[in-house]
Amino acid sequence: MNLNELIRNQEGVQDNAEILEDKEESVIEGNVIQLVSFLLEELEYGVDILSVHEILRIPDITRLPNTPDYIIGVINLRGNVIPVINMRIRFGFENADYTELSRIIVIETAGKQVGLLVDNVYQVVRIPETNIDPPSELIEGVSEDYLLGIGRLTNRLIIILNLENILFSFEEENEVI
Amino acid sequence: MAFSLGEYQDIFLEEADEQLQELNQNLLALEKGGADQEIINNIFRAAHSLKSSAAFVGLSDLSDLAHKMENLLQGIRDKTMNVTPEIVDLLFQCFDVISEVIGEVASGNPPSGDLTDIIDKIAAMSNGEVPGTVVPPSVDRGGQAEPGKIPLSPADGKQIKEGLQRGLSCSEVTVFIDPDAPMKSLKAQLILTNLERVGSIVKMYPDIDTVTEPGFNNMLQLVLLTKESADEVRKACDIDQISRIDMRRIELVQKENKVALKFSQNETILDDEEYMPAAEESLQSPATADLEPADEEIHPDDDEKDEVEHRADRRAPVLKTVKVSVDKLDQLLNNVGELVIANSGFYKLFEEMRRIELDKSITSEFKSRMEQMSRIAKDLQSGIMKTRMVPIGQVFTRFNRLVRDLAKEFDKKVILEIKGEETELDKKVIDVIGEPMMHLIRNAIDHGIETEEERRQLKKKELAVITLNAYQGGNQIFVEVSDDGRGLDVNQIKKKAIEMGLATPDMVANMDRDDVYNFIFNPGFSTSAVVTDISGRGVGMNVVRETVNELNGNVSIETEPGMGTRFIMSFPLTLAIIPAIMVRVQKEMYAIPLSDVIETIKIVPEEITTIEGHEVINLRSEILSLLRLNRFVNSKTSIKKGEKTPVVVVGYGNRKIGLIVDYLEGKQEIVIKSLEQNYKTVPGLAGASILGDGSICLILDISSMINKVISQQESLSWEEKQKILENQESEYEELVPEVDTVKLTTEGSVPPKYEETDPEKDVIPPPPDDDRKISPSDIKASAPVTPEPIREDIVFKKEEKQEPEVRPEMEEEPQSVPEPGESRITEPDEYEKPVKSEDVHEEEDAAGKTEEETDEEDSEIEQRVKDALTNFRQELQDNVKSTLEGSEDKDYIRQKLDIDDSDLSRIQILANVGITDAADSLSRIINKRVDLSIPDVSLLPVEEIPEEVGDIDSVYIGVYMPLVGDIKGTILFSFKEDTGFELVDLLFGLSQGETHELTEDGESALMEITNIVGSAVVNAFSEKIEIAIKPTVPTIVHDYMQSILDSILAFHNVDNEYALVMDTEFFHQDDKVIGKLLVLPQTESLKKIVQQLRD
Repeated sequence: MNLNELIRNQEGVQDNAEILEDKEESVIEGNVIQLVSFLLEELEYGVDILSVHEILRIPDITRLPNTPDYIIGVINLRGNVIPVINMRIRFGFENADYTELSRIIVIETAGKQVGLLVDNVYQVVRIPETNIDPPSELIEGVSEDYLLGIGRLTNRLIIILNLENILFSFEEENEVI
Repeated sequence: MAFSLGEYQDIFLEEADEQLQELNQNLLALEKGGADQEIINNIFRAAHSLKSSAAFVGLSDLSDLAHKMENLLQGIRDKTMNVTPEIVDLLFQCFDVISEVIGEVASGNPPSGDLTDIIDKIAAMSNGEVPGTVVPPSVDRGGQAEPGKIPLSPADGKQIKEGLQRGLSCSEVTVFIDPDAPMKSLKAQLILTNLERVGSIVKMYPDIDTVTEPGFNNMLQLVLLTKESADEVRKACDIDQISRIDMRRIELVQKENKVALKFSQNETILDDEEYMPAAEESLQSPATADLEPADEEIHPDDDEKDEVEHRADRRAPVLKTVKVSVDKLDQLLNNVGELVIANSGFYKLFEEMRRIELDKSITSEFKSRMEQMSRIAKDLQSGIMKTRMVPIGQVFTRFNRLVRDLAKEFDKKVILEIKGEETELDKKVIDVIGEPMMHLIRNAIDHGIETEEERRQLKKKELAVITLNAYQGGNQIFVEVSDDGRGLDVNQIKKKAIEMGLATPDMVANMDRDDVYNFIFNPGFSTSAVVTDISGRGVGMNVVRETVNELNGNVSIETEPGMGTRFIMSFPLTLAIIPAIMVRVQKEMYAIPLSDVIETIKIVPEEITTIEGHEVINLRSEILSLLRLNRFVNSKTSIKKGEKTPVVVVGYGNRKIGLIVDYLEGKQEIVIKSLEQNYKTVPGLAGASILGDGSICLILDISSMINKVISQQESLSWEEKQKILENQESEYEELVPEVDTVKLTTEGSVPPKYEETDPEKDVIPPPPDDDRKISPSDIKASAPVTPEPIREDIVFKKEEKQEPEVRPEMEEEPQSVPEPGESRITEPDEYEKPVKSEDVHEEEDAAGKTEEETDEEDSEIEQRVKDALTNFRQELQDNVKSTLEGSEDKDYIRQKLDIDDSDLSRIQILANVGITDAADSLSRIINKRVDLSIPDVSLLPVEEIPEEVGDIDSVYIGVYMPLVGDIKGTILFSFKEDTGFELVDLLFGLSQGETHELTEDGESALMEITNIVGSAVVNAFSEKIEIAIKPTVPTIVHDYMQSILDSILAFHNVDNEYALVMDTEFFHQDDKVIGKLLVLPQTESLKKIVQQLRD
């Protein structure tokens, strides 16, 4: 990596931050939670911002053999070895190539840091708790256990993920099969 | 929810464990040596602390039991009871019960056992046998004399008066030393010394002579003149195990015309909780100085009223140590490891900066900062690693009890000898080493040691000895368990091995004894006909090996029939960083812990026999199962059909397999990171590591891989195995080149066996990425040899780098194998240049041959053979030439190393600075003036060093200190034998000529000296050339100079052809030579130094 590249990366990070801020929705009164939302096959998902560690561009990923296919591999995040889950595969979609917009959302759940590879980090959403409905069974590809609920915004819905179950319980389920 | 004793649980458990250890320890001593007062006091104290801490966390039963124990012990202490075996056994029983309770609490369960039984027993013991022993504590402590008046002489009075008039304050201080405290007189003296620091002592009672006598009665009275406050005085007296401090002010009072000394009310400024100031009433009697009538008034001194009232057990204002959880240390160590790695990123950045030609001043500033940081990071790393080190003594002492019990049970006379208990091991090792040691000790007592009767018949000492020893050697820690019993029976082991189907009679017949001994580590292996309670089931030894392997360690056995057996467990100095062999499958890098690697070989596909999809080769008449790493990690391989492939032979226990990899990348130190931390255990992987460039490489879990493969191998039928063995023995190329030169030609001319694959058609994979740490010189190096298979050559280069590691000794002690010199890679002209000396460079010959064999076209092979022969002739000529030239500096060496005179003189200047510092340090140690010769810096072929340095026929003591860090090499401080002894005499203040042999103390003294002297030199170098060099632990060799140097070369830089020798003599004032200091950097490091000096 040369200096230029370093600088570019740095800029990239800032761009990212700007994007997030620009799109932030206007504040809504009441008990509000903040979500980081991302798109997967046109559907918008959200994870609680408090569990989000950071959002990365795609770094070098080391393949992890003998693991389920949705584990793309591990990345080095400042000395921490973190597994990365390909959310497309996780949720049963076709795999797709990385794009300029692909990101890894590093979340922390149950004391472990995990990266979620997503197509696009969309925005930071504030949503009043009253606007969150319990999960319905209509959501394609994602079983109820992995959802906290569905957030209603003025013009769209956000599927809110239950992070704790995303990495670990899925796997046990698979292992049983 | 788990049972818990609240927030103090952890502290309690830890303390209780310590106290229990102490109890066991002392009780054993008591049993052995009778009623030594100090031992009883120790037991008493431990029981007492246990009582209070149990009460503190609410374990009232335990507290009660401890209390009863205390009562019993009191009887012994007061000599109203005798130490009988019954009592000792009962006490041991108590300890077991306590330990049980503690164990339960530790595992999160409420204590279930009923202690009343044992409590009753012990109460009966103390009451029944000796009624009335249970004396109230106050009476027991009544041994203390109550403080009376301190007799003051007229002169004393005068002195006090004068002092007071000068504005000092005067107090009478009475210190009560805990009656249980050992070495009271020492404590008294300590108090005295402390008090003298705060003021002057006018008078003391009893006087200092009585204090040092054994009959001292726990109380010390002093009259002190001081300008410090009462609090300061208290602090001065408040040392360990002081039960109470009283203090009263002495003031001057005008009475009529006379001056009187007034003693104010006695104040207890420190009181042990249990020791109520019952003596208070006796204290009002005011003392008078006989000079003047006394003032009888008693009034407490308000402003001096010191309300300090703290308990003895809370008294610890200054903590010298802090208990830190290992997790925290691990975390810290992890972070620091990262720091070190992250730091290496700066080097890349720096290169980049240099490339784009930024302002020179900025880059050099950047560089110096960067290097400073790297040094700090490394210091930090080693510092934290040291904090994890714990002395092994605490583990060793536990076994006293075990040995006692077992010896009793088996009716054998055994004593346990403990050595090296101060040796420090990583906490992780300490935590688990107890179990394997326990098994070894059990085995030793049960099987190893003969009965008393047998021993008598064998004319052995009836008292058998089991020895536990720990010591450090190189970067390994050794822990030994040895006995002087009957030793292992080879034949019986063989028989059993055959019985169990572990080996065939043929195999066994040709086996090394060591290999035979290794059978005992197999699960279920037991030669014992009788399964006893404690051993014979064949589990123990397996546990030993498993545990030791888990810690990246090794077990070896030394045994002599009739003489005894010694189990030697070795562990790496630190577990956090391990050396590993890096291998590659396509572009993916994997690390194999070096401790698991036995050797690396190369095979051609024809050698592989496939049975039911299971691949094996015949390696030296042994079936070696193969595992293709690329299959294991589900990827493709970049090895072409018909191509030779590197195989890493890895072993776990005494099973081994060959791992087929694409490339060998070399050795590297890696920091292990667990995958569990953020994910979970992945089959086949032991963890991950972050490399210098920030990329992640995965560490292979060899044991799980082997288990997988071996289970397949075991499913092979005997016929199948036989068939494999009948196959032509694999013409593996051992990368260990121990082949003679003749073979070179014959093998070289054998036409390639696999012509069906046209190398031309093979797409040669792109040379490894630049970031794969292949210096451009690699490619340059191979280019002139053959234009075609570049890849081949690169592969070989890499292997060659492996050479020193894959020597056969690996199997014994992989870690101690020296680091490979990196010189090969950056010495592009290595092959083309003639080598100078046959014996030293055997390896290279063979390496050349390896190259030959890989050629795939006849013409090229011929060419190679021709080249090799030319080289060989050239080498001979050079040999002759070098002999003719004698020991002068050789131009060709300089040419080869690219070093000129000015470089040498620069080094000389530097050496001078360093060695002057070293002489300074040396003179300070031996307290004599030390002169030194100007260091003589020269380049020598290694084989000439011994002659150059010393008298070939004399015995020397050589202490060598390997250097690590950016510069690798060795520092050798050598003394002639007698000079070495003199030095030892000097250091220990013995009269000259007293030392005649090198004792352990002597060794450590000489090592220390070398350490100091060597470090001085190293520091000079590392400061001047801004390169991190670190001396490591010295090793001592007592032998002929040739052997000393050989061991250095073997230990360190086998591949050094030439050495830069910095040779200095140190003299006493009488011109007697003390010793010679040699600095031998490795070739590569030497180049670095030269380069750095030029810059």
